[in-house]
Amino acid sequence: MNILILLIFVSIVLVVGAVVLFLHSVKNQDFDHIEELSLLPLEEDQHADKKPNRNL
Amino acid sequence: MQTKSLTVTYNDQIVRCFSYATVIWGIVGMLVGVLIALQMAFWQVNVEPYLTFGRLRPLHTNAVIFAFVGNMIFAGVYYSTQRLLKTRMASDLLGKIHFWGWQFIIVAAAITLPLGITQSKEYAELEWPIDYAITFVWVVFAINFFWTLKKRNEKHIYVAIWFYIASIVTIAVLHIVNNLALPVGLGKSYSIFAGVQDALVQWWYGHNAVAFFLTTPILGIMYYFIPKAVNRPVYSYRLSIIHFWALIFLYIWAGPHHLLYSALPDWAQNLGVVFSVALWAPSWGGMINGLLTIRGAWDKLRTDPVVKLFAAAVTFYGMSTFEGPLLSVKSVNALAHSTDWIIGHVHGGALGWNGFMAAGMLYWMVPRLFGTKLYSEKLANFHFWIGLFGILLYVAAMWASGITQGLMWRALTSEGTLLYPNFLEAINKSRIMYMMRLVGGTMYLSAFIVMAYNIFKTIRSGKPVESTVEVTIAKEDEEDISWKRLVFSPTLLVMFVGMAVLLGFVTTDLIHFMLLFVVSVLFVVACFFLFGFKMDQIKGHSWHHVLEGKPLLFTILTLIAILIGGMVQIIPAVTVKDAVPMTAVAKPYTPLQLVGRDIYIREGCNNCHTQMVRPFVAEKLRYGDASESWEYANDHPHLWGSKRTGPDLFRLGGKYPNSWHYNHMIDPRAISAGSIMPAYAALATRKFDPSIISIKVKGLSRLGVQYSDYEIQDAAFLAEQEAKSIQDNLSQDQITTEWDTEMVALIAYLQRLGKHEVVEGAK
Repeated sequence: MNILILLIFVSIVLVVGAVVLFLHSVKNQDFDHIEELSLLPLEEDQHADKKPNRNL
Repeated sequence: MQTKSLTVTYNDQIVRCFSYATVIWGIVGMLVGVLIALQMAFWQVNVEPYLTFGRLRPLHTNAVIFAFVGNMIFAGVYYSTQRLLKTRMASDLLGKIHFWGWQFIIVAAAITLPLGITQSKEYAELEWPIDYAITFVWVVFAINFFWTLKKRNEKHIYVAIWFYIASIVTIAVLHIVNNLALPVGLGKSYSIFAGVQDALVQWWYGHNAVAFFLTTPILGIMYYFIPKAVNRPVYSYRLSIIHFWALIFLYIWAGPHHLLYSALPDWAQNLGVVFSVALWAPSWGGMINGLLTIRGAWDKLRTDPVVKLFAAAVTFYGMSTFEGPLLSVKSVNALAHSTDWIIGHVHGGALGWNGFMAAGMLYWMVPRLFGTKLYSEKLANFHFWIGLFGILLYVAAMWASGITQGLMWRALTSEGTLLYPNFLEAINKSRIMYMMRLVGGTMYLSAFIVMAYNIFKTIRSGKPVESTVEVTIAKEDEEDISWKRLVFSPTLLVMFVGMAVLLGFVTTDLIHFMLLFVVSVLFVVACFFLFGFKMDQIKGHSWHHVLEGKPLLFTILTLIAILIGGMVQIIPAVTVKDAVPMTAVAKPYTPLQLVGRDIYIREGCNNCHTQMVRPFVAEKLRYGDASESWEYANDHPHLWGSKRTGPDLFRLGGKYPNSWHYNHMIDPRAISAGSIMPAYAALATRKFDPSIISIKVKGLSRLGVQYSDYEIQDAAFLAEQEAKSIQDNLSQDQITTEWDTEMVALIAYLQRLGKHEVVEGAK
């Protein structure tokens, strides 16, 4: 029986924690650098200049 | 904001070299895999002494993990690191040393493993001289990588780089600790750890070789190449932050799930279970992040083989990381451990996740490295479908085989006796599945060879190109935040205090537990709040954003995160006596038994036979009493094994006469009808060298095994005495053999198994 009490309690605490974090995130709109840095891998091709390597 | 431009030419020659090696070693590793799958289906394919299953299995695992996936990782790391940091690798020379050094190690492994030169530790079989070479080459790689980080032209390090950092640092730690050994010859050493401690260290390494060699670097590759393939940013950068820290912190604790129901103390087993189950969350976070990066480009799944391979690879990652925690639940593990289910699990990850990620990366990258287009998309699609069916056939066969074995081994009659008392009954049921596995594996290999042809034709249609880019370096108007401010910020403080609170969970009281749980969650919530806290007053950057601009500090925090789990598990087990209770002291192996044990290691018997009787009714009925930790105290290294293609051997001693063992080695099927074990007839004529026994005994004595001076000095004489008594015993059964044959030594060892005499009066 203890395990049921424990599992329900743990689940409730986790859900409350997640809701608090979600509301905090929405309220503060703290997504500042997120989009900017995720674009990093897509940058370089725009300037790429590929030349045959005669030394190879 | 100030900007300046400069031209950077990337070192793509090193990427091309590692790409060629990936394809070549991939074929070799998988070919050996198909060969050993053939040996499981048809024992006749074993060729004594060099090409038996026991010697080839480590060759297969090492070739696939370190040669195939290793070269693939280096190709991906060198390609993406230069582009993400907008700079050329720091040193071309170090790159060349890294490449040729790594190939030398692979060739050394390919020579020594069939020769039986092995430490016997899974995925760490290579002997000490090669271990030194690995350390050297890894350090060269690390220097080149971190030097490149130092001279980067992009301040912020992208998530792929974080995973590379974690991999480089953790593999170094794992490799050094697990391979601590005392050499007793050029091709022979003994682990400094013994028995339970050795098993714990080995699986801390073994599990994390999967984590930090087969997973984290590939995740870095995923975070770079999937966005490139679909031309979209990663689904959630925030999720990738959580994915990274949670994954590297949790993974390192999970090793003991390989040792459930063993002689490892319960406290360590339970830690392994809890963290393995918890690991499911970050693993799936990463899987979701990878898959959803394809959002908005799902149509490419129909047309683009690269996207198809990446999507399937990430799906296999998700499946394997669901199956892993499932297999770590004790009741599931009781059924699955040592069966073919584990082989199915491993290959779902290796073929699906690693193999398909490698293929997707090569199909995307090679045309760009040679300034051309992929030779044939049709062939790439063919590769995908044949490879996929091959994996499904393989995995389904191993699931069916493994569950059948687990159920048959434990089945009891209504009277309480074993329903299938002959171990071979389960193995013979698996034969058809072994053939199915062979078909699946062959399909996968064939598809891979098609890829090799496609890549070869692509290379022939183009020329190696140097990628030169114009890099714009932007110096933003942002606050210069020192590392001290980051380290002594409330964010880190709360994190470390929160971790200390976790120690309070060592409690059995329900209320105490609930209170601690609430406190822990409060700490986690507080951490998230603080993570978002604006440190930079000008740009409003958060704590983690600032950290991403400080690679040295990032590396140190990564090192701390991966060290905590290992330290909590290993240091008490090695240094605190009560952490691994020993109820008695076992006598050391006799010199002849030691020679026999080394032959057992050389032939790789531990690849098919475990030495760990678990505390189950069915195992007690089949093998005898459950194993206890003290019985392994002299085992340098442990030989617990992880797979039962043959029965457990821990209580084998005294079960059969010497002549039974002799005849069984000469022709296993003459004694056990239906056995798939290779014959070891050559052991009856090959002789051991008595002159080196005392060096071995002395070596073990230096590691703490309690040999007397007499046993060390007269080891050869004692071995001869014991061997002659076995020779006499065999002659009574009309078997004529020389006393100094390897067969006699091996029989001495097998007859000792499970018969650990207690040292009277010892503490």
